[in-house]
Amino acid sequence: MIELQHLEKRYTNPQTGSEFYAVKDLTLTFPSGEITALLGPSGCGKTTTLRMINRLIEPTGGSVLIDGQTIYSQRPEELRRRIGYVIQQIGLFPHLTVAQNIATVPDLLGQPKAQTKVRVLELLDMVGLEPERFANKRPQELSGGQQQRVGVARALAADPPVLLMDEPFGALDPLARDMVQDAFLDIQRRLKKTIVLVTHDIDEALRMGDHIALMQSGELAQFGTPDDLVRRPTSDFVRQFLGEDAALRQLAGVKVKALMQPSDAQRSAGLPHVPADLNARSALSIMLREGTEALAVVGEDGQVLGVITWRALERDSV
Amino acid sequence: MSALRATSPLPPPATPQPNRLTLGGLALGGDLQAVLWLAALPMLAASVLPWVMLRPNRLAPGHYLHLPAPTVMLGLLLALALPLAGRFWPRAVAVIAALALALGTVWLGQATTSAVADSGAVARASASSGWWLWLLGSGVALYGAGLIAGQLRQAQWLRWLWLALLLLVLAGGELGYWPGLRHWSVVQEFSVHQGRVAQELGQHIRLVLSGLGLAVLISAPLAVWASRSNQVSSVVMSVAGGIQTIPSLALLGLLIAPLAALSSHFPALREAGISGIGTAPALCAMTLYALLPIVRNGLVALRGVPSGVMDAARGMGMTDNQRFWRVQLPLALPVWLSGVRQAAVMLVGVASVAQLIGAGGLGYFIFSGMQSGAADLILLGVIPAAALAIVLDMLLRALETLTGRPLGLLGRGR
Ligand SMILES: Nc1ncnc2c1ncn2[C@@H]1O[C@H](COP(=O)(O)OP(=O)(O)OP(=O)(O)O)[C@@H](O)[C@H]1O
Ligand SMILES: [Mg+2]
Repeated sequence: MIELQHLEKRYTNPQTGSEFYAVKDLTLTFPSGEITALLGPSGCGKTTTLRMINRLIEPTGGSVLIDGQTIYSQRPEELRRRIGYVIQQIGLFPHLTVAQNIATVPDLLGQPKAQTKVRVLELLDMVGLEPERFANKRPQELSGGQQQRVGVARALAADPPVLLMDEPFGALDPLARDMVQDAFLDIQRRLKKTIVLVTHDIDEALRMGDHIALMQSGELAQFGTPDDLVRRPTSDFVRQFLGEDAALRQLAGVKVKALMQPSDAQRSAGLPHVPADLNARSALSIMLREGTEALAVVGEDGQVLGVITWRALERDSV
Repeated sequence: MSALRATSPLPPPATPQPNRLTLGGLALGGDLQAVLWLAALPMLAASVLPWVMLRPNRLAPGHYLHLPAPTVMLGLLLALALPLAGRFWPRAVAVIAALALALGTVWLGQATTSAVADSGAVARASASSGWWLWLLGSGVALYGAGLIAGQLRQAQWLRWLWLALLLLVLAGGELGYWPGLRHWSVVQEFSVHQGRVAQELGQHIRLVLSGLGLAVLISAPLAVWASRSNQVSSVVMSVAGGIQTIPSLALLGLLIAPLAALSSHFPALREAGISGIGTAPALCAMTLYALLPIVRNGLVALRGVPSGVMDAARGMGMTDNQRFWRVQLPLALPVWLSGVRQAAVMLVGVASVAQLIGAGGLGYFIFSGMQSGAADLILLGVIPAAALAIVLDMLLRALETLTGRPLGLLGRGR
């Protein structure tokens, strides 16, 4: 659990000499074991907030607690070694191999080399890169998506309970982004880290976030589940920022197999078939096109797995 | 599907191929052909110009001797073979250029030996315009061959053929299979001054390496400091740049007064051998000169490390020291070293002037040769100095490649 208490960062504008708030009186709790998306327009203070958690930026007011402990009682380096950090530029060390990159934090912590070696191979496997093929490559021999997987593996190397990610998938093309996002959600389901994910991409926040903290010029606009923000916006800013098609966007991030009900062959008879990993938004579109309120969900072998209904889409995750 | 296909068609890859001659599948840039002509023209002229000036003794006026007619013909043919090979068979250029250099050396040996044989023992046979032009032409031809090798992905050993042939020719001359260079005036001068050449070359190397070492020791922290602050970097760069604009002779002169004053005020310094003339001011001047290239490249290299990499290093919990030694320095090193290399080559030149304030070095031969009007003596200083510069350049280049290899900079021309 990460608690921000009245967190504040003031900067002085060098031209006018006047002060302005990059982050202002931000009180917010990132729940343990879940992904919280820190969402907002460009320049609203997301990166500043994130970097105050691992003390790359020192606040001008307020404080941060991790699991009830203040973060200011230890050296910043010690703190950072226990917090994973992933950035948009990835920042792999070009003069080191993939394996050496991943081993960075364990080495800084002085963990035994043999143990780290095993751990590196394990992590490569976890992020979906074949260990034998990739361990000894240089970062510049990898594609952008592969590099970002290594970036994630590197952040997870010392098994930190907390992961800070600043637009980690922002530099990837849509296809690679989808794949890395999926792989990452898969990993998170197993590891249950406390994750703060900075993004300005609404789809990414709706899809990845268990919770969303929406910021507006340095202040918190709304904190809640994706559902809360889509269906119960607390202000015009929230509604406008998410857009009129927010509900559809939310459905786009869900697979039909997550919303279907198990059913027998009788009930699904005569319904149009859709594959299990279709997204719910496409399912809705097919319902509109076919004029039906239910679809049969089939697995890869063509066997009926269940039924997805209009009601289920409407109630999604409520 | 069609919508997918319609999006962002990639532009066709650009293929800039200005004025190329294509023949039998081999293409040679027109400017390369021009280089080969630039090599052939001096060689053509060289063939018909005198190769040797014979003087009855070291200081007497001399008369010019030409190559024998068959050799002149061979020289003309070899010169013309260069552009012809460039047109029809580019791979042969390297071989012709290497042959030209080796044969030219043999011809010089022949010409000097036969000239001296006809006159007395104190006669001097020095190389004349023919040989120097031939040398220039072969050098340009070798340069052209290097360019061609780069385009044709030719075998690496062909690049070194000239050196092998030259060594072979020199060794053969030494063993007496054909006339060697021992009657060439420069070699005669060398055999007289052998000990002194070794001594001054040693002093030259000592001066260059200590100047370079001191400059690295001073520049390294300066560059690191400058890379962290804009104010510091602008001050450091303008001071180092300012020093560079002072002519080396003037700088040596300017250093005499303060160093002499220092040594007369502090006896300890005087005992350490520091005074207004000699090695101390020369070293000071060389160190000051080498600062600019080393600081400049260090600054560029350290600042050139991607900010994302630096940010990741800090975010992962590296201390400032760890970040510098483990990330910033290894990434900056290849570019930084190329600054050290530039400084080293420059210092070989500056050290030649050090003789003027009594610091010795190969400048000794250059200045005493100039005073007595003996060109051969000057060459005794110039040839080792040039060789030293080339060797230093090669060694430091190898070091750059070694440090750059993990970064994938291998083979990237800089
Ligand atoms: N070092 C600094 N000095 C002065 N102002 C700064 C500094 N860093 C950030 N700011 C300002 O603080 C505000 C918030 O910046 P921040 O980087 O947190 O935005 P962001 O939400 O991450 O934006 P983006 O989505 O574009 O990355 C911006 O107005 C920015 O100009
Ligand atoms: Mg940002």
